[in-house]
Amino acid sequence: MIQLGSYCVYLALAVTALAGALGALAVWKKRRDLTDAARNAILVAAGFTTLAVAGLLYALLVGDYQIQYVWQNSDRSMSLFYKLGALWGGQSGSILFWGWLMSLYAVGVVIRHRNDPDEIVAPALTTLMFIQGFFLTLVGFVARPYTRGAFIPPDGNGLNPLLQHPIMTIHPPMLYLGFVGMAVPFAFAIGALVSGRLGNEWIKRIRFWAILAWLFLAAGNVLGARWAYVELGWGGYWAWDPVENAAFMPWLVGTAFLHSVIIQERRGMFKVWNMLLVMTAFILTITGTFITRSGIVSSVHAFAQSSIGAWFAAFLTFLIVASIGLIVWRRGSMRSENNLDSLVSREAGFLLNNLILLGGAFTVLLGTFFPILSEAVRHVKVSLGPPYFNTIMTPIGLALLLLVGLGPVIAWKRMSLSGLWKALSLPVVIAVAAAGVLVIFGVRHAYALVTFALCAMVLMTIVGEFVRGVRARRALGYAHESIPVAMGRLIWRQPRRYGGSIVHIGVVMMFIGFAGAAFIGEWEAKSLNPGAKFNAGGYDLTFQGLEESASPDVETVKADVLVSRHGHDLFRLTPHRNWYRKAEQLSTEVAIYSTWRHDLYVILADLDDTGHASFKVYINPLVNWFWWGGLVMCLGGILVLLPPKQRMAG
Amino acid sequence: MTVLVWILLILLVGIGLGFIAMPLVRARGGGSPGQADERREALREKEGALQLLRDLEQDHRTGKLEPEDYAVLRPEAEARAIAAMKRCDGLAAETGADVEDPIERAIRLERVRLERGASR
Repeated sequence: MIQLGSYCVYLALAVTALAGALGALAVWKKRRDLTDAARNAILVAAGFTTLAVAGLLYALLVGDYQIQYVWQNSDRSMSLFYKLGALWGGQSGSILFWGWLMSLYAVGVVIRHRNDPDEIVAPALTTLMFIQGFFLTLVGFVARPYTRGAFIPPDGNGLNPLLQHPIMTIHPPMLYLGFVGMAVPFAFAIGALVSGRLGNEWIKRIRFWAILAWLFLAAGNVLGARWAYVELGWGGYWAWDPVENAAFMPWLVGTAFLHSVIIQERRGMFKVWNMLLVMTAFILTITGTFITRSGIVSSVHAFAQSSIGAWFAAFLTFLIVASIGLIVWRRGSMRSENNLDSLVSREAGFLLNNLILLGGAFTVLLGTFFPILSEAVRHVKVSLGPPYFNTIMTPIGLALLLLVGLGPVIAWKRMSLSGLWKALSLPVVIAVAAAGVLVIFGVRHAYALVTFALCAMVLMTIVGEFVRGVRARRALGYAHESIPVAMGRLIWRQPRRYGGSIVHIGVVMMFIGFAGAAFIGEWEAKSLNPGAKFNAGGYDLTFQGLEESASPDVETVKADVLVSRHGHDLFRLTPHRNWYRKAEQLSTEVAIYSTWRHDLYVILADLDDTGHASFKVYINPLVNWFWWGGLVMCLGGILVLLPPKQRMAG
Repeated sequence: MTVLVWILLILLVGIGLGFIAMPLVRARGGGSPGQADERREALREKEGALQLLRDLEQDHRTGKLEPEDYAVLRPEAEARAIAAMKRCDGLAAETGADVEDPIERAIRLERVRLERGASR
């Protein structure tokens, strides 16, 4: 298996190199047969990469411990589901997984763009093969999954217990699909620059891929936050950890790109912006991979430190230099067809959107790399934590939320201030009223008030968008339709526009969740005897006792907690602690009771030998708005992927 | 590694290389690839121009485009759409792609070739 797997990797690399060479030759010689040969080579490379992955997966499933990667990342007690997750759980497996996903995306590009002009497709395919070749080179020579161990152990080490959670099996593939997916728009951008075809053709081609990558990144980020919330047991879901930031930054820039391309399509503006944004988004995915794998920044999520960082640094440098060089070379062909007519215009709004999102990404990048910068300058590693990120990102987030509200109402080209006020007056009144009601009910936190007010305003503008759309549809002769039917047909006919509105509704819901975080309550109860009661956030929690259990791999202690209110028993929660013998690792499993208003989040914080238990309890107001908002955002993203229907009628 | 696996690997490599080389040894049938590319590009441009017109209409109806700006942008978008449609029709006529009957198509192509030859 080791030899077969290794040969599949080397063959995949060789055919990838051949595909890249054929593509480059096709660009140079302008020959269709060379492009076709490159396409076929991409399919063959994907085949060999798939065999390499299948081999490693088989080895994991059957427990072939002669392969070092298999015994390092799995053991006999793991379920099939977690053995699958072990494929990307370790360094070299995850890089092979990346290379495989790249090959699948390349096949997707070959199929979807089989009839597109070679001028654009050939350089794009060559670029994809260059990226794929890099990852396969790593797999073949630097981080090799098919390495024989010094001996064959009777059982493996197993997967890190923290990773043995369903979400943690799904979250990495989602993120990888997003990271790798960003390579496709990047490749087409390179194709456009190389071919000189810098009109809207390349934008239209990459729209599907850019949205797909964005969607996977969104889903991956939300899933990662959910895992942190339920597994790490600190009451929160986002700690601005470097690995979290690594996935967040390309999503921010990708968001900017998806909005900015609308301007190029409609007005022929922002051409250089769009080129920079799409390249930056991909470069940030490589930067994120560099952060995760090089060990230069410490993180709870990071892979072990290795020499692979130097390879990524070199690759990153090449990408940055090549991208900038190509943009500078073709800058003359990317002049705007129109100028900004007014600062009160949709174009200006999108420009501000770009600046704010890029500013946010830069803030996160600076904060993530600050330890390295401080060490280089002052020989002291200084880490920036949540206070830095929250202080800067909160106003950035609120500014973005405001733009989400303004976007639907601001006109193209120019809008008078009176016209803007007319469009915004009702949403602003609603916002002020919402803030007023909250103040009356005792809410005094400034940021929370502003957030809730903006959320109310934005929701009103989105509702207004749907109302205007339904009215316009009725004016076209569909007055007989009921409102739900009209709305459904509106969304179906124009999924890009109204799918975007649904994405924005999801964003508003997530901001409601953020605002709730300002009111988190925290309680501690230490060294409780069974039968002891304590109060947390209006709930009475009675510690009933402990229950111990053990399996060959795990020792578990569960605490039985009865939750009541005003003397009425409501439900039971069982937070517990697991001791994983093989990994010699302790993990806490929180118990959560969720409602739309808040989560009651209970942690079994400590146990002593005499059976006394200590608890930590959080009340997390509105946190479920964040999770449901994430789901709505992703559903909206799926709608945006759908092609528009040809006519308004019907 | 067993002999069988080696044979399988060699077979896969052989099939793979053959598949890659196929376009290089096989002549492509049908019309000139350049013309087919041009037709598809023209069609894509036409679809894009028509979508732009639809978007302008929707923005105008929902009040996101001021009437004065709509009066300027609409003719520009219409002109773009008409030019794209003319280009599509012209390319279709040149290649006979709009003609379903193969004999008629061959006659049309021959006629275009003769006309081009006469005009030189």
